[in-house]
Amino acid sequence: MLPPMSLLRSSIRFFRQHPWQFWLTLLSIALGTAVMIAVDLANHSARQSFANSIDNVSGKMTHHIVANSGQGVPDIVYANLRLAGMRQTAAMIEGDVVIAGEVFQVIGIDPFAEPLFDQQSGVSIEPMLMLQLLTEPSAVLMAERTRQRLGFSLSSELALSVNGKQSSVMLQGVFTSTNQAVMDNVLFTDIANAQQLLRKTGFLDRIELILTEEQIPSMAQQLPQSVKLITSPTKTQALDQMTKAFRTNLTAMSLLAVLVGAFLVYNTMTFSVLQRRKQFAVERLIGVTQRDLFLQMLIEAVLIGLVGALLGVFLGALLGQALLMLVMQTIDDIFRSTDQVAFSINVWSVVKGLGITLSAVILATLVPAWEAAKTQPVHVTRASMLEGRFNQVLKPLFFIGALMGLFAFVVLVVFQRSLIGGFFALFLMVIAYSLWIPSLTVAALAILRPWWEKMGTLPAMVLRAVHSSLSRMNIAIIALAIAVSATVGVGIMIGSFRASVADWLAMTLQSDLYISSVNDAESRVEGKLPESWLSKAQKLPGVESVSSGYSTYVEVEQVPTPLLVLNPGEHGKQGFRFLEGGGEELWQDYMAGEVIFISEPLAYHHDLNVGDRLLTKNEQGVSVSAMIGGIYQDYSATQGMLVMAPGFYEKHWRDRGISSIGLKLTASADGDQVRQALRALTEGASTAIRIRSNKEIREVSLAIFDRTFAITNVLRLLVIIVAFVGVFSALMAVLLEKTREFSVLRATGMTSTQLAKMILMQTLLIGFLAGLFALPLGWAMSELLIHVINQRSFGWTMERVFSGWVIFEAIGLSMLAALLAGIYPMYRMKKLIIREGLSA
Amino acid sequence: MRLMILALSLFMVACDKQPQSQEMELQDWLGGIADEGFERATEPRQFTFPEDHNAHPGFRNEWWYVTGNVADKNGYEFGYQVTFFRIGLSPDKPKSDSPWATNQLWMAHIALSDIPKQRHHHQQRLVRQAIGLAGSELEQNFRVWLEDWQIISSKGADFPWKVQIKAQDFVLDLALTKAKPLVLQGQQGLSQKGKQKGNASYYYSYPRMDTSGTIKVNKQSYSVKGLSWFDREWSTSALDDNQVGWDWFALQFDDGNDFMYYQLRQTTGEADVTSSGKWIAGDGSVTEISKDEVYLQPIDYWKNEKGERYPVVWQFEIPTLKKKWLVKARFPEQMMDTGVSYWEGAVEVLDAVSKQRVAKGYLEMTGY
Repeated sequence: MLPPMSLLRSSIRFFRQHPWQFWLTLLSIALGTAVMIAVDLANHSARQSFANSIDNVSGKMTHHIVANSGQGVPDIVYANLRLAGMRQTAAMIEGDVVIAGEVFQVIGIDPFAEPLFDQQSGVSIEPMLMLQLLTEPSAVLMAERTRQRLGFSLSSELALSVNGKQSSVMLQGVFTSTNQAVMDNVLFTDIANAQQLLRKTGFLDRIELILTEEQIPSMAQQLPQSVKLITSPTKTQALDQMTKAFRTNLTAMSLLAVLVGAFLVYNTMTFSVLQRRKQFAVERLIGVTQRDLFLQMLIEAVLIGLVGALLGVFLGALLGQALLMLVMQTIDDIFRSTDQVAFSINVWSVVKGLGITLSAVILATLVPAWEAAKTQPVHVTRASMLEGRFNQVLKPLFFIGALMGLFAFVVLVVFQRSLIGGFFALFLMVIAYSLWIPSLTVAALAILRPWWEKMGTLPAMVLRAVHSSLSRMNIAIIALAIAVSATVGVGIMIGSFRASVADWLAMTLQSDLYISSVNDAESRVEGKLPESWLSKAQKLPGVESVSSGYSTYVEVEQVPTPLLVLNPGEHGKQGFRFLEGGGEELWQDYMAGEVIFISEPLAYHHDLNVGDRLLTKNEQGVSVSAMIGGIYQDYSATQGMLVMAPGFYEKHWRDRGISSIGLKLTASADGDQVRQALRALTEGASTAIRIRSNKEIREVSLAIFDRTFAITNVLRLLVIIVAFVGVFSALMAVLLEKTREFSVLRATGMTSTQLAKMILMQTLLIGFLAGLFALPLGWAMSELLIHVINQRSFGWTMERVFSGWVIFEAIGLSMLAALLAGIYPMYRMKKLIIREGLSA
Repeated sequence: MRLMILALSLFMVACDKQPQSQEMELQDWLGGIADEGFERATEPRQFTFPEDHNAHPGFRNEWWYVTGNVADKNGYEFGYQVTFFRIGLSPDKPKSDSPWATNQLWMAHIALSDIPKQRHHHQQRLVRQAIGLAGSELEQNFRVWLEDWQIISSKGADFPWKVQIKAQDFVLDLALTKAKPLVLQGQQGLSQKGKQKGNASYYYSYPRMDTSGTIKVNKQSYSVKGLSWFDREWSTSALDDNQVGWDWFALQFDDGNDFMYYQLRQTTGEADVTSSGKWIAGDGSVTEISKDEVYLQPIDYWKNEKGERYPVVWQFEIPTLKKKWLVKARFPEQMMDTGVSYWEGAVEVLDAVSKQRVAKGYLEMTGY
């Protein structure tokens, strides 16, 4: 056996002579790793920052005590908890005010009560200001950044309106926060001032507290009847659910980038084996064993993989920061302000990225390494050696592909509900399909040949040239096809998703106008509206019918789940699309309190069907069992939700109220006039009121949807870039190998333009084939994303929407990528110096 | 006298002309509260009890202070400290309809010295006087409380007084009964601290209270007995600008005598002339001890991690009474790391000649 160093030196020599190959391999590995790590880091940073800042405000509270009805939780409830030694409690009072045309959230705090301003808190308030909050009756604090933005000076009086009533506060000082994103439009004031300002004297909005499992029953018992204990619907949870959809899809995209990168590695390593067959034969002659050669290839791959992956980490960190801004844009739509979020390098993301890349590199090298090891010393090699064998492996590859496809199917069926199973099947399918591509290429070329050869000598030559270098060209085609199929698949998925959401919004927003309290964006628990508005709204001219809803949370298998207590009125029933059944009879049962409805995600996550009984608990912890009468389509709550009739809710719960009112207008009604009448009606309400039309809600929802998926477009482009590098390197490799052949052609009279044309056609052919092959894969991928990945993640079903444009887009994109990749090789060939080429 | 942690803070802020920084501790800004509008302790007053056990909100600062040395029947010894401070943030209550509105803030410092284990547990708590969360009252009984920590008397203001504390690391449930009558400190209860008029406090003590009850720490419960010392003091301002700290001794002798002495240290390191104390004999008779009658000298120091040196062994002589002792910390690490950090802990008193223990007590040292 030769010392490993000498073999390594032989590798180094090879790549020195073929720098293109070396750099392109490195680049494809680096890019694949970078995309994967960037997505991971951006996701992680965004989550981390928000988890931190949100926990700063609401703490890691497990439960809330809220009022069943009326003005709120009496102060004494809080005092009694504290006097009983329960210090993990925070009194919360908040409300919206308008200052200089902007909505601010006033948060009343007790600066001395833990745990809000303990040392872990991200918000820091100077001690002197904490004191002044108590002693100055109208003192408020805002974030320094907000103060600067609005140009307020310290110790100045701010005019504000609370529910339309004018008032004023004193800007006593500013606070700093480790993350100002959620603090931008926040005013901190003493709890006494908040009660005064928001006209809630003697009451709290809620008490947040940390309870252990054992404490819950006794706590629920000892509370007065006017309040109830609910599981904390934390904002972190809400954020998680809202962004989970697109984080899952991002992860899928980034893994595809790695897969494409792995094919590129396979391509380069195979090609480098091919080029070195002669060298390997010589090495075998001088005593290098098969094992040595195998090891040499593996070591080579691992070293290149390691350098490429490290480069990828660096690139990924840069790219991640850019992606983070896009991720944050999405999250900012959900919360209401924008800010820089700290980008942090998560070690686990990096290790994971390195691990996946290196595994992919080693896997991709196994076949070429084995190929190299098999080199016989006596074999006088021919360049077409591998090509000869190519035809022999077509059938086995096709067969293995078919087996893998079958396996993917089995995985899908066996692991019915597993998301990881879904992803695994997706990748099996992609690899299976890529094994079919060589056969498909041969078939496609056979079909094209008669038609193509009629077009002249040059096209015929092109076809034959592609055919003769199929083993290498195929890898380029596979890489490009996977990349394009990913954009096709994800494109179809997003298109379908959007269409389904738009369709659902149009259907579900049956009312023309909606009244709700302002702070419903952050949690689904809305403020209560006076019930008297219902009859008053009904009497307004132009109003045809009125529906009302009350949003709250109940526990389903220990998970706080949104509940809508809905009185659908005359028009609200059309807002439901049931997966099965429906009809007037079902609604009669609903209104009679005999059945409830659950959303599709809830049914999926808890495996519930129509006719099953759903178990939940009321505020006293008494079990409530309800018959499921219908499962309806819903995209609003990923964890799912329940809908029940007021009669049913009021029979089992003490809590009463309404939090939103929907108005259906008559055909002749003037929307603006009704709006004005509503404004007058809601004047002087105890909470800030928002009146929105269904059109506004729909537009805002879709705008948020579009911004949410803007980042996927960037990622699709990145995957294409990785594939572009693949096509480029394959073309370069083939062309370099054929330099001599081209020189002969040139020497025998072919002009440089003709040669360039030939190369151009060759690349276009590759691009065309890749685009064509990408279509079925992209379609299959979209099916998996829609019906497996998204359903397993969220329990959503959606209609697949397929536009004919996708076909043109895919083939066009693919040919464009190939064309761009061909420009430099073309240029090089045009400059080919015949004599040098001949002697090469 | 006693814990003038608050007053000290006042002084620190007065000296520190630098702008307030984020890191400034809570106590620092408490010193920033202006004196104007508060009552001052300018001349002796007529004390009435039990009314004077209750709060005097016209003054800025006020405290209820219990320290003691107790042991279980196996001789397992503890020292403990329970202090409730009332801080007037402004002379008048802010105008507001909200029951949360207040100008009174309460602070508690509690500590337990586990002497065999040489472990010092302590905790601070701040609560506003609103919606019944903290305060003092004299209705059914006399009570001061911060949430679930309290000192509560029997009916009226009768003994025993219960000290009930559930801290993070330990639980105190002690009953205190006076073993000697109440002593007015200083001049009929007016304790002059600075040279300026009004730089004084009203100050009285129960120097010896029989104590029994339960202490829970380290998952063990101890049934304990011993002696406690109760101090009450209220003032608006106390220290002069040139006073940097003090050393305060409260010693309970085995022979029934009790002794309180404080020395105020000047910027020069000298003891201020206002330093003084009282010798309270077993029969309750009181002897005034002035600075000139005392020889007080640190002889051994302990340095904490911040590098502050605290004297943990003192030589204490009162030639007029023919007393000569060594006052020794039960163990050095009894720091109160609560905002302004200070040393407060259990001590023992050894006869300088026989080296026999003759007393136990508490020592407080600030400004080091």
